[in-house]
Amino acid sequence: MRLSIHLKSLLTLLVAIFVFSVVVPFVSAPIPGQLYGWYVITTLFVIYLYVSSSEASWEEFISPVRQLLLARTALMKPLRIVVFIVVPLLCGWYFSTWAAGGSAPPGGLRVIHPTPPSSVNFQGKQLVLQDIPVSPIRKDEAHLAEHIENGRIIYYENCFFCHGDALQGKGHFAQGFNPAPADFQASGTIAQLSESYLFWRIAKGGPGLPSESTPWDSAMPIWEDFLTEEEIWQVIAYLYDTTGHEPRVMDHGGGEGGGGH
Amino acid sequence: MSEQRITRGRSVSALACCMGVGLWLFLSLLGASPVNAQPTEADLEAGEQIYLQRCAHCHGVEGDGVGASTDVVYPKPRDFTSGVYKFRTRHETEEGNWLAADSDIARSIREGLHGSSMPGWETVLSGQQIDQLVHYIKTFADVFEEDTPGLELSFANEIASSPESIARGKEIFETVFECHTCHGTDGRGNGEEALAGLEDDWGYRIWPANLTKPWTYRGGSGRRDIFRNISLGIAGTPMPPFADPDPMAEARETDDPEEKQEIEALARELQEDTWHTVNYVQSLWTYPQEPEVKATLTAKRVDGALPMSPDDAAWQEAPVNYYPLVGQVIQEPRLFASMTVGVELQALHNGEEVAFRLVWDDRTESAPGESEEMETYGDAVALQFSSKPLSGMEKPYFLMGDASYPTDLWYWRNDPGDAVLTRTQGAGTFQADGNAGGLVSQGQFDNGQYRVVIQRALQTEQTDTEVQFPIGAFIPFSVTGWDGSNGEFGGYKRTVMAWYNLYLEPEPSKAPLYLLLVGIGFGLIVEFSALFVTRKNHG
Repeated sequence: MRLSIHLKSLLTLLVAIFVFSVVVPFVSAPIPGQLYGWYVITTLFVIYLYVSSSEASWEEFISPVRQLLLARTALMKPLRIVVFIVVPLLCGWYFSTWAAGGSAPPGGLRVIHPTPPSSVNFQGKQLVLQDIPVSPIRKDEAHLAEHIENGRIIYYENCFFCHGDALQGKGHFAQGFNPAPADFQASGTIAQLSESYLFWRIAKGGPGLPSESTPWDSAMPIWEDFLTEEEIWQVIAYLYDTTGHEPRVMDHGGGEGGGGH
Repeated sequence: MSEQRITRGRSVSALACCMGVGLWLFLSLLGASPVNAQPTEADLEAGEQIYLQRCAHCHGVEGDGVGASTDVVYPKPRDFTSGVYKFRTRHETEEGNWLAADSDIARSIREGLHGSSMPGWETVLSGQQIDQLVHYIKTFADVFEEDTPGLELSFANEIASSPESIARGKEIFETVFECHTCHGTDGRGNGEEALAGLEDDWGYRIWPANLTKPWTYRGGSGRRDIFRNISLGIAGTPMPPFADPDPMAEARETDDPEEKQEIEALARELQEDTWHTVNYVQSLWTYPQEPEVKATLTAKRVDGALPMSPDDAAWQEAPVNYYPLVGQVIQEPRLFASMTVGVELQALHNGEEVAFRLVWDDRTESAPGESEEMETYGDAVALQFSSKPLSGMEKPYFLMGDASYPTDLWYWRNDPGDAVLTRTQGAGTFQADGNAGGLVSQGQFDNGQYRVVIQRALQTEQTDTEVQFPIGAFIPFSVTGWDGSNGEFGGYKRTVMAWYNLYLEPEPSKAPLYLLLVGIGFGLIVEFSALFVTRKNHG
């Protein structure tokens, strides 16, 4: 069976909209509004290119419109009048609702993983992050299991309220904070970072962030006020051990995947 | 003909396949995988591994409910050595034990206990792992070896909700089951018994559920969940069972058909009364589930004087935003076991003044020194704003600001009940007193709920050091609360929330009207151009 060019165009558009609004959000994440608009416009443009690719297909596509505009039949005449009234009203309605929805809060762009400082002052001691490619407790392989176990206890005494039992950022206090606590299981957090980066973020917390990362909003405590250096390394080891992620290893050139998003 | 039949045969089997897969998906979504009655040694070992990795930090390596986080959560993790599980679908056994079926325990693990620190594990553990865990945690209590779970609870004679059923349910709530003695007459968990002090079987102070917030019902808020809790109680807590374990026992013993009928009618009536109560409990809900947090609180513009009383009908005009409040666990001393769940916020303005209405549930109207066991304080709430005008994206630190970005707190406490302006430069600088700051307030405590209105002029003379409210701009605000009888006071021990935006509605704009006209014109131009071009070429 041969589909009419109108049905083909409509089906293409519907499939595209289905992919943008159902398939993509299911597979990854919902498409932001403006980008969504651009995708639909691109799809419409592609359909236009297709229907105007030959004289014949364009003629087939446009002929009903022409019928509507010109034909003097008993059906087309009243239909023409209805369309001429309804279309301007729809345009008017669309334009005015567009203006009514105009109170959106300022959406500041927040850098999620800012560039870390080259060194941090931890409880009075200067630590050069570049010189710590991997966690120092990993050198003590014989006791690594003990360190991880201790990290687990520290996590449950301090972190799980927000970051949750499942390390997914869904602890029982998580809903009070904005931005939401980090999801360690996700591929975009600790899996992208080195252990010394985590050390900096834990030790200095929200207030230690640069201003492009909105330190005033972050609920992350300054953990150097609560934990020792070793305890922070232990809890970091626990996070990687439990999630199964591998920490990124920082090379000496300082090339670390901490750039802004 | 035959080809058609084959096609139809194929589509029938395809349909059957689809239905089969659908049914399987449905059952697995329900989590209906039956727990194996007899665990193998390997199951128990696997269960132990999962337990040590996932559960022991709260419930203890020995299963006694003593783990790393026991001291810092409310309610406390369950002690498995008791064999007492909160949520069961089984009656008391003949031996007098309240044993949970394996599927009951599996459900608590799978879905978690809502509003507590016990999460649902279904995103982390497989159905098989949860079954293994069930077998393992049962080994902590001998009672599971000595006895088997009792009769299954019957959910029969369900009554759909209706105004009559709700009215009957209220009667039963207050006069038959007397639920209000603990849950309070408005269901906010503030009954007399609750205030006198309820304890669980381990001697910890616990509070009855606030029935108006179904997302905090530990065992779920489905109709059957509520029916189950009323019928069988919550084991280990003061919530008693109201159902008869075997209502037909007497009926079986008698030969008199009339007596038999009477007993059956009574059993039926108890079930129906329980369903009426379920309908009443559901009618107490403020929201069916935890409301989504809205990024913007819109202060609606109204004409004339703003309402001063929290119960003024004018407040029905203003949109209501709900915000969860959580313990301040960021700076020492921290508040781990917070009791306040969230606050409802509304705002109105008239171009000259702005009024806020804050509503939150608190079981106790607290006062300093009311308890001999612990230090208590007054109940309080505060709206927080930036003291300085803000430019760009910078804001004060959300926990009471710092030296360069101080915050204005509009602080209201139940005693004396007048809001004051207090300025902070970090939590350590918080003072629970201040000056009037142009604030006018009115608040009341009513049966487990605070309702407070605070008003001020939009603009003051101190434009650089006091918060100003320009119309049409987004102004960061947040709310913080203190439950005095929970030991909350000062800059640290309190419940907090993140910054959100307040937006003062401008005067109704004429833009939509103009744009309507522009849109109609646009549509007409497009249509007539098309008509003109087509006629010219083809007419």
